[in-house]
Amino acid sequence: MNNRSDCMLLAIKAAAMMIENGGETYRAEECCLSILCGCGCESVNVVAFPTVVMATAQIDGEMRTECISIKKRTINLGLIDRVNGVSRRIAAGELNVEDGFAALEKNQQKHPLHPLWISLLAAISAGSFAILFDGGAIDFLYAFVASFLARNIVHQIEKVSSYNFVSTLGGSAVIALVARAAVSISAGSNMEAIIIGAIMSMLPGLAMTNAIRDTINGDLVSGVARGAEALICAVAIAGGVAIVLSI
Amino acid sequence: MHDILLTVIFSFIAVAFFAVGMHAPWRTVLIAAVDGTIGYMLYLLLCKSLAESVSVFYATLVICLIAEIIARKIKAPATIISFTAMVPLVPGIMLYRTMLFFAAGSTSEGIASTINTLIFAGSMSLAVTLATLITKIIFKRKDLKEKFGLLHKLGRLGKRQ
Repeated sequence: MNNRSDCMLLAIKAAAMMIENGGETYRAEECCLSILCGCGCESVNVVAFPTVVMATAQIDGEMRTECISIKKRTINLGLIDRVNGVSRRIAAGELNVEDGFAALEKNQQKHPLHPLWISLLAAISAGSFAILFDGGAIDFLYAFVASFLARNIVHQIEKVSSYNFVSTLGGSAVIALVARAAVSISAGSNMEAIIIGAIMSMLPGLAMTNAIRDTINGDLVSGVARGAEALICAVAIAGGVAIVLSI
Repeated sequence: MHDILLTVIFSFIAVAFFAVGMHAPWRTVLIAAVDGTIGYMLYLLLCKSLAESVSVFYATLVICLIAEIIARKIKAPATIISFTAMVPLVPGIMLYRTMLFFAAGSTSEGIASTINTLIFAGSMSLAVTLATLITKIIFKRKDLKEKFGLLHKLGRLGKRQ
C-alpha cells in the first residue's frame, strides 16, 4: 500500500493490454476498476475505448488522471486470460502492485508475439478448413503453405506499418497467389477451398463478436468502432484476393 | 457415414489448431474444439431442412451457451471459447463469392451476395446477443452478488471530500 501512485499505472496498463489483445471493453474497464479498488483508491472512474484508456482516481487525497493511447490491436487470447487473472488476484489482495507489474511484464515477455511453431500449428488449421470446404488431400497441403506464408508476411508488414489494413491486404494477396500457383502446378486442386481455408484465420470474427458484446453492454462508441474495424478488415481481405485473382 | 466422420475429425482439428494459433490458453483449447465441432455439425444438420441464416442462428446459440456456461466453471473469459468455437461458421465462403462477383463486374449479383453475407453475420450476432442475455439472466444472482461487492466498495470509497 506504500506505492499507491504506481497502482494507477498498473491498472491502466492492464486495461490497455486487455484491449490491445482483443478483450472486450467492459472487461478492460472492470479489470482497471478492480485493480484500483483493490489498491484502495477513491472516486474511481474508468473509460476505455478501442484506441485509448483513461482512468481517474483519488489517491491519498489527491486527484490523478492517466491515459494510454493504443495504437496496435492484435489477437492474443492467452494474454487476456492471464491479465484477467492478475487483476483478480490484485483485487483479492493476493498480489501487491510491484508483483502485479512483474506478472504483467513476465506475461508480455514470456510470449514472443509470433513464434514459428505457432504459425505452423495455425497453418494445420487452415489445411483442415480447406478439407471441410470440399477440398482434397492436396488442398490441405497448399492451404497449409498459403496460410503459413501469409501469416509470416502479415507479421513482417506489421513491423513496418501499424495499419492492419495493409498487412491484411498483403496476407490475402499472398494466399491468392499461392492458390493460383497451386492450380497451375497440379490440375486436381480446388482453388476455392485453398483460398477460403487459408483466409479463415484472418477473418474478423473476434472483432465482430466484440462489437456486438460491447454494444449490448452499452459501450456504444467501442461497439461501432469495432464494427467498422471488422468491416474494413473484411474489405481488405476481399480486396487482397481480388487484386491477384483478377489479373 | 464416411463423410460425417471426416467432417467431425477435420472440424475438431481445425478449431483446435485455430485456437492454438490465436494463443488461447491450453485449458480452453480442447473445450473450444469440442464445442466448435458440435456447433458445426448442428449447422450442417439444420441446413438440410432450414435456411442457412436460420440454422447458423441456432448453431451459434448452442455454441455460445455452452461456452458461457463452461467459461464460468473454469473462470476464463467466455469470448476465448466462443470466438474460437464459432470459427467454422464465419461466412468466409460468402465473402469470397461476393468478392468474385464484384471482381467480375456483375454488381447486382454482388450486392445480393453482400446482403446475404450481412444477414448471415447478423443472425450470428443475434445468437451471440441472445446467448449472453440468457446466461446473464440465469447467472444473475451470483453475478450481482459479485458486482454488488465491488459497487459497495466503490460507494463507500467514492465520496469526494
